[in-house]
Amino acid sequence: MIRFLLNDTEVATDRAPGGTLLDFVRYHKRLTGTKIGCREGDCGACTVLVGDFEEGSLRYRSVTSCLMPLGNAAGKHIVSIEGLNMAGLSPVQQAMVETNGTQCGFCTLGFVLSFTGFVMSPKARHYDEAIAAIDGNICRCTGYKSIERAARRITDDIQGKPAEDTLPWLVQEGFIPAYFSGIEDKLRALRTRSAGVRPGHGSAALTMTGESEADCHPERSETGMEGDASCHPERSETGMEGDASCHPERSRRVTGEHPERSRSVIVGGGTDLIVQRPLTVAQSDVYLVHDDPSLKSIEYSHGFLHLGGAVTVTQILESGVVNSFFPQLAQHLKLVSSTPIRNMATLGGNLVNASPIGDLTIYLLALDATLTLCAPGHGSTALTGTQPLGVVCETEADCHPDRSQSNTEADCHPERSRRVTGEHPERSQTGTEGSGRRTVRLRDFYKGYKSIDKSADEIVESISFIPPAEGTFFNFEKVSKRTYLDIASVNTACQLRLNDNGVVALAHLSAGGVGPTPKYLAATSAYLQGKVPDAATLSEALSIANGEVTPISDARGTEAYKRLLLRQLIAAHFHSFSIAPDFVTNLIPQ
Amino acid sequence: MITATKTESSTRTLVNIDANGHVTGRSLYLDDLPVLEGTLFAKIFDSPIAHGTIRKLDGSRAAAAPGVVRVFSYKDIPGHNNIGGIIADEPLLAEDKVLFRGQPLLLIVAESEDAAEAALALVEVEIDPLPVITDPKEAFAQGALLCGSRQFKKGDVQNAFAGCAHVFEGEAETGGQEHLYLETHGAYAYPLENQNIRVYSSTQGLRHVQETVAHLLGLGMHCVEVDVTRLGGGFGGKEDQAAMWASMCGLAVHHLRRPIKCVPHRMEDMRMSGKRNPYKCDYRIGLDEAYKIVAFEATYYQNGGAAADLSPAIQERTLFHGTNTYGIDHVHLTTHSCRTNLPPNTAFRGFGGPQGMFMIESAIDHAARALGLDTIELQRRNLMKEGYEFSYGQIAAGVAAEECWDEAVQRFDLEDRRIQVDAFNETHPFKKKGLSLMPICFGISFTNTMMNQARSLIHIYWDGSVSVSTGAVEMGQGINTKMLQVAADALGIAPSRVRVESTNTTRVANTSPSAASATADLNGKAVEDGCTQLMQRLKAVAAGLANVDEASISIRDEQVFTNGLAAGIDWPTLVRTAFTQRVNLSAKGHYSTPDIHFDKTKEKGHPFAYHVYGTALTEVTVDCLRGTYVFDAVEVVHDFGSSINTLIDLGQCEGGIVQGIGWMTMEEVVYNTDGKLLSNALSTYKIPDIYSVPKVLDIHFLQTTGHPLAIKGSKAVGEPPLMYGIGAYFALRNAIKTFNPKAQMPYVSPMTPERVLLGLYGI
Repeated sequence: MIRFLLNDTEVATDRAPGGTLLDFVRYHKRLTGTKIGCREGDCGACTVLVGDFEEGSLRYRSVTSCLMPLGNAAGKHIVSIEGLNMAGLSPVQQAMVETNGTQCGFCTLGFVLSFTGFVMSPKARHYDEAIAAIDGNICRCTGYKSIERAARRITDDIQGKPAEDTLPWLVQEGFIPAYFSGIEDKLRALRTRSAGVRPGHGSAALTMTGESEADCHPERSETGMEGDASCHPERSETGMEGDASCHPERSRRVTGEHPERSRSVIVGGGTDLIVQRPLTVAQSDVYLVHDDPSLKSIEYSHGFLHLGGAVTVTQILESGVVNSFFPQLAQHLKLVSSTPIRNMATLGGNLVNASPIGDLTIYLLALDATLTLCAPGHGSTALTGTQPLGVVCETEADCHPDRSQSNTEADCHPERSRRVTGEHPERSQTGTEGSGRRTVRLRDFYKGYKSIDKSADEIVESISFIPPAEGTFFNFEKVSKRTYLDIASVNTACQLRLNDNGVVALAHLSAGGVGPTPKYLAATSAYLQGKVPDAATLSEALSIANGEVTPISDARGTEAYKRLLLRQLIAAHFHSFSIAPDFVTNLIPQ
Repeated sequence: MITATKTESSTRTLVNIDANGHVTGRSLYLDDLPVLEGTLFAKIFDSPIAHGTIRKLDGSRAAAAPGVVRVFSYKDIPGHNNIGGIIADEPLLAEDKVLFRGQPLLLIVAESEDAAEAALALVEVEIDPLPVITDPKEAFAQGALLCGSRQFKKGDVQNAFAGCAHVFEGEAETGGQEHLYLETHGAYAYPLENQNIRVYSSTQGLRHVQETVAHLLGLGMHCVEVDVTRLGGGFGGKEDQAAMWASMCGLAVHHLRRPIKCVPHRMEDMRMSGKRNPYKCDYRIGLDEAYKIVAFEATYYQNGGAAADLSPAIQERTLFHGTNTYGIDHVHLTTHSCRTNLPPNTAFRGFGGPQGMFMIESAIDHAARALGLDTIELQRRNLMKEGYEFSYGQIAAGVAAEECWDEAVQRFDLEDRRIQVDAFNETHPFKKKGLSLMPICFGISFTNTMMNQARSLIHIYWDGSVSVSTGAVEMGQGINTKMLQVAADALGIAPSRVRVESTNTTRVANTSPSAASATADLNGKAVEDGCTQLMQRLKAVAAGLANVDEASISIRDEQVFTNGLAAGIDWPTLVRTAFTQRVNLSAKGHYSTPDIHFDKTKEKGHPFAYHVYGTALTEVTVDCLRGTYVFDAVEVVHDFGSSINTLIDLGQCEGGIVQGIGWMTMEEVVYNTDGKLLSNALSTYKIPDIYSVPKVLDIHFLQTTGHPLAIKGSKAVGEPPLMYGIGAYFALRNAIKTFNPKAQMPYVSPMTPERVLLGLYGI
């Protein structure tokens, strides 16, 4: 049973936790204000707000409900447009009406929800933040100018908003209905009542997952899941025996999906997995780790930054400690999908997804990051009887590589020892310590297209790296058809440190979209080591890089373009570092 | 928003009457309609290859799958297996051949959408592949045409070229464009008594949907009722192509007598539906020594896809706009509508006009560059003047080409902008700005004269409230608001008394599609006609009540006036009295555009009620390291006439421009050589987001009185602004050329970041 608050009502459902929140809200609760535009998180017509506790406070974030597993709603407050409607229009709605910010109206609800999310964010009060809040909302009619005018009006309307006790002010000013005042208490009460169903799983305690597949997970039968098929008659009829091989794009939802119900799927944000394999997720055992508190920490200790496997992109973006090491973090992460996707997508998922153009993967490759994997089945930390083994469902198609679904396993290492070691750069089995844990350098993690150095029962516990020291250059570049909310044609990151003599003391370059895997440019990085980065050296580095990559022509560009673009983006790194300006200038056609 | 005192003078500032429903989620789109008990769900099994002969097509395993009720093939069609409108060349369900990837082969109907979808995988199909053509010139070379080629001729181009001081020849090409209405296609149909069917369709064109469904089933149109509340965007994509989804529902309802819903997933919609026609063009342009364009010749190869759809009409509009805003004495334009193995391409805002305009702008830019001239100067020198005879014989009247251009140059301070751009470019080695001017001249009316007619049905209920039905479909363009304004103004009553109804074939028959920018003009005039009839009847009643003659009666502000003085009779009293006197309070309005005609045998006539003019200035900054770009400004002087609703018309203008910029920049429809759509989802087909629109988008309303054939003097605004987007392409070219003067760039759109970077670095 999944319990949560939907607008002003508590709901409990035994629908499949891997189904989407969108389908539940729209078709089972008949709240048709939430629209279906694309089912891949790329239009925002299905935007809803999710209220959850962050550091003790109730905080609302926008998400695309088409990619949110229903189970991830457990213990939260889900707000659709119907939950914002009052007798009169809210100032957000009023602004959209009076500026003619709505034409056909199909995208409008998403904009209203996203703007309301901006309004409800305690600190946000600037126009740029209002615009950023709608970076995941696409409108085909207005050309956005009227929506910009609405944003100005909304921004003006919230200038009196207090940073503390924001909610009563919002109610008083008519931004949200009065019932919001009671939500925090209701949510706490709901959580208390649900506690103990599955100890140690945070809000995931409010879910019971999936259908039983006794032959695969005998322990599943203990969880009382046998009733699932009967409550989803239409699902139980959709036999998977069909061979869709002559129709790779056949399924309405997926590219080439053969839903496999016999596998257990670990789901983090779901933001790529549900694009790729919605039926599999909907029809399988799912294990939801998105809200596992033990996988969501960001820590700096002993010179390393440690990011939990289920840390979201938004968490990274808002982290004080991460920002302290990466002054351009906000600028870089703004290039990664959109606000609602960043609110869901997890770091571990992005890495395991193994997309050749995963933005965060490319970022972390240039940081020479190390993964900590754990194998719960062999670990000293025993699984509880209700936990599934993590058989990760890796996606095959490459539709949304910059999204992520976590394959991180919840709760297997509550003690979180964080012993990532710089001195064990190569794969290091730590099973001797009885934990089933090992570390692997990210650059060694990718073995081939969508093939990773990870056994079926391993999960990503954390990602660790030494952040760039003072004086170390770091840059991330990405070019796509559309600058924001798009997938890279080519992306690349570069970390570079010069010693006092101007000689390269450390160089790490990575590039995406230029081969079957996210590429650590090993030869180029090694070449630069110990050299003075003058024009001639960098020119040679470009040739080496060009020899290291194997891009193909596809919808995101021809091979020739990708090679040229990689050259330009590497040049852009050095341009941004103000190193060897003549090197960049020499590229200008004469 | 609406107060009871607003009348004629103030309805021009009325906000969109649908906006309240939109921001609260209460507006009803097709998929929001409550589903009736017993509803079944339909999924289409479509062709996996682009061209071939069907050897085996077996849906028996699918039919036996759990939840599946029935699988339909073409054999189940009792009437005509055709959904083609202009030419009957497109089967609903393929018979022996497939002509494009995505072509429907079978229809699977099941108790749930998931069951229908699962059964798709059980269909067994074997198709012997045939060669695939995706390029229109290749199709032309093989003689594969969808319809007859057309030619517009004026003067004598051959002799004129011989006398030209400068002649340039070249090629130009425009890409397709996915409509990407946020609401996909869809239909929901259910059985009525006897053999009748009601169809809810997300369509701009009710008549075509009604006729197609009826004839598919071997029925008369009277057996099929089509109803449309609103669309979540159309842009031309739901004009004729909506008939396919509606026909699928109709077929299943006919056999199963149960409600049937068919709403595709976005990826299905994208791969099965046609898009804006890509074009290739060979052009020749000749100038005299004073750089006056003397002759222009162009041959357009329209990529029509596998069936005619609207392509024959679209190629016609390409001819009408082949010379854009330029006055040229010798013109010879030829179009070939080429048959390829792509989904049948279709209407898209501008309807072939934008493609034609891009070609001549390319030719002018080509000539200017070759002559070392400023393109802007060459454009200005050749703008058409009052009395110009278009290649199709119409004499231009009320020409505002030079007026808009000069106003734009002055208002947006072109000279200063150039100085600033040059200074910027001097000081920024890796950033270059580019400027362009884009003039437009767009003809208003359906080019098929027959279609320029509309009807309305007006009821005054006896409490004084009013119901207005027309053939217009609300799809975001604000037509409901405009129709309400027209009715409220014509009846002299508050807008709050008026309801605009859904569009329904039983209330208004034989509708023309909501298209060609003409919807407000045609339907608005029909509403005026209906209201005028009612007012004549009410005035007679009022004259009786006030005991004066009818000529001294006026009705406004919800009051009866005699000789300008309030008579103490309010609207509800008047209406109640009229009803008591058994006066007919319903009226049917009709309008057909006067003065227009066109003779296709001569390709001459007067096809347009009027033309819309304007000029856009575009400024872009290109990042010459990365090949990315930002539009700093698009500033426009546009001839709205006397706008009926400035807020709505501004929105049409802004939205059209951004859609045009999208077509010219990031929106790239990509098929591979097998005819497979690669840009098949929102993740691979990108339309502008809020960050990619021009930072400044300034629309200046040119003050004119409008045109008598425009509704209340308010000129049509749906399509013309899209063509300002063409300026984005040329601004980008100019910036690239500043960085790399030797750049060899063909005139090919869209100007994606890839094409920009390849231009910047000369590869």
